[in-house]
Amino acid sequence: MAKIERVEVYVDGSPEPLQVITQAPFKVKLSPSDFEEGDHHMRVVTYYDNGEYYDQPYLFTIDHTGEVEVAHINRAPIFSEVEIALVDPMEQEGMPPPKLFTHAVLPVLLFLLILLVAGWFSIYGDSAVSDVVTNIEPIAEASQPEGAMPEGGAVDGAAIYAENCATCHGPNGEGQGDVFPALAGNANLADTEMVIDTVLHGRQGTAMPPWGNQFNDEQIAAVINHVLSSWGNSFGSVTPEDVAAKR
Amino acid sequence: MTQAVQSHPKLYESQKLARWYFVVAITLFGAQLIFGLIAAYQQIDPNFLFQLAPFMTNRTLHVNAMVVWLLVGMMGGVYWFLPKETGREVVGITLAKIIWWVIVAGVTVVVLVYLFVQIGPAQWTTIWFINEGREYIEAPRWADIAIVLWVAIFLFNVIATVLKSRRITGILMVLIFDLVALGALYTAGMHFTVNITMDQFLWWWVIHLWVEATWEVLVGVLMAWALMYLLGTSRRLLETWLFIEVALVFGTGIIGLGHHYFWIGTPEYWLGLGGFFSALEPLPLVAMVVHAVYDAGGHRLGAVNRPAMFWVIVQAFGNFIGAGVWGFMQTLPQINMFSHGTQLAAAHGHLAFFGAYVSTVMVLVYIAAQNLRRPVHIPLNSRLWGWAAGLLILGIIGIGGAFTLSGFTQTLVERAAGGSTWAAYIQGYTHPWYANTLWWRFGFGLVMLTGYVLLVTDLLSIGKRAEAPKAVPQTAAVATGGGDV
Repeated sequence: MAKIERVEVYVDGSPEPLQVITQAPFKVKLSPSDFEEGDHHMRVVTYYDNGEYYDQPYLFTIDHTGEVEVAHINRAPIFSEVEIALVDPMEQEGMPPPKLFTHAVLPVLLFLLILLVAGWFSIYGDSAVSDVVTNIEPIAEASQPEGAMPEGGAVDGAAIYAENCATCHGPNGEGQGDVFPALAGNANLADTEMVIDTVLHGRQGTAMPPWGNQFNDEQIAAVINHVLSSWGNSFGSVTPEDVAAKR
Repeated sequence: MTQAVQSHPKLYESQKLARWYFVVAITLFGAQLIFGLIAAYQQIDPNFLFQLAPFMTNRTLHVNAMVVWLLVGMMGGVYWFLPKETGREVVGITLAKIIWWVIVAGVTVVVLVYLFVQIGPAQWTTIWFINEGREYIEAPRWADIAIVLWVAIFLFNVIATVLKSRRITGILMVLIFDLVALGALYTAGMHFTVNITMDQFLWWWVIHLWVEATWEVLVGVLMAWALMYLLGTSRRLLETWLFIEVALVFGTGIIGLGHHYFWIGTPEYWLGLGGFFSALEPLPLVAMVVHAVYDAGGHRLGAVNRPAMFWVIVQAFGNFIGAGVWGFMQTLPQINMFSHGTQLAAAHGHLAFFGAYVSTVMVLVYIAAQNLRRPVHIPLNSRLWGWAAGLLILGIIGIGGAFTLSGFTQTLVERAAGGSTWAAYIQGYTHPWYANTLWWRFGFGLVMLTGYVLLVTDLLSIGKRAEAPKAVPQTAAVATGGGDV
């Protein structure tokens, strides 16, 4: 059990200690009349007999018109001496030494235990959900859909529209506010080249995504023709060849 | 009055290492602000840097930079105070220095991959090397493991130093067991399961238990040390409050985690459990405010470091308001049903992280800045720190306010009135109260950036001149030592 060897008190940056105290209770007496009005700084350096060293700065204020206020002391009558405790009471009473089991072995064991559980879960955790009905396939086996529509048969532009476009542009092409433009009665649709371009490649800076990779030329042409001729629109038509030319 | 100057207190190796932790922290703080500003501007003009640096990448960098810099800053604080607490050099300091370089290299690689690779195909190699895909903790798996290893070495430093120490203190005991949780709980964010509910269930262990519980306790430890240094607060007082706070944080926070379990596919009993316990969660934060006020008021000492003392007060109230009040605003199931996933969460996030953690790191950084300079100025003061702090605080209040208003609009227009339909979603986002606040966010972000520039300038210059600038005239009122309080 290490003991406090000495406590040095320095005031206002002086290189020489104001006082060196070697015995408990480690207290120093300061007289306000020794100090000028204003902020003063006190540095308390505590040396233990095992070489430990603690350095603590304090700030105290001398006010000759009122009272003096210093470390650990609230108020004192004008010009009377103030006694200051330099070492924290808990430090003076002494605190227990660390225990090998409680403060080292136990936390390390806990840490390793949690890592072990985490590792176990990483490997086997997935099995806990394997019997739950889910449409999500494990990541490695997931396969990319090769195109949303089956090959062959007549292409239904209205169906493609309902499934892919209506969410934003509305089931009747009415759009939504300023964000998703209406398609019904939209004069811009007269420029069919622009329409093909927009559907194939999306429109930068807007929410319109590119659809070129998901549908073939027939499907793109079908959905465009559906838009160009529905809800009172009459903006002509496009062919799969027109679409192919724009890819 | 005299600007007293202290001669030459001993500096431990561990404290010299802490300086480099703080350098990394403050640098990443800058990166966080830059990416936050880019993301904020992209909300206004979606074409800005379109396809070069998408919003999601910038947001990832914004959030990840924050998590890392706050953690680095707080660990720097432990490296700073540990030798002062144990009276000896930290054991295993060489290892700590090596891991510091590993972390700097690791962060650089992760940031470069985020910026230039961004995303990968749905394969294991993506999870391991590019991006794990979990919001807020996107770091690839190898970086996750590096973080756990890093905390493990940190834990070793602390435990080995404590074992060689003469005595165990309550603060050290809390620190040791908190670090166990800090390292180990992070692993919960690494499991891959095909079940999204299970994935979210565990993901919240990192977001809630890691950040809201173990970080808060770490802050309690650091604040106790900071107050001991700044005011000479008695250990008995600090440890008593620290134990109360730890008991409250864990007592309310562990089951309070349930407020994240309302709508992710977990059983309904979480509504009751989460609602009740999370309503209690502001309690430890109130305790922290009482603690700080009690300590500051109970002594009538002048703080030896004015900017650090200021940030202590900011921390006490910021933590309570940002984490406590703004958290509580959306935590009850009845309210959460409508506010869930709105910008209110972002408001809470911004205010809470700033109030609880940014201000803590500011306290630590200013204490280090004071003691790394020769001669040491007591009290540490400058003209600039107040401007830096003021602009940073003004900025975060503006950003938090803007997010709160847009979140309120979403809650009202999109959720409560519109019933979470697609049309209501569009209405909510185009509503003037939402659309206009995008500009506020950006504007107040610029205010924060200005504050940051001043902060860095101040940190580089404060306490360097032989005679620091004259502080405010010492009047009787200031002389009570309450000038900063």
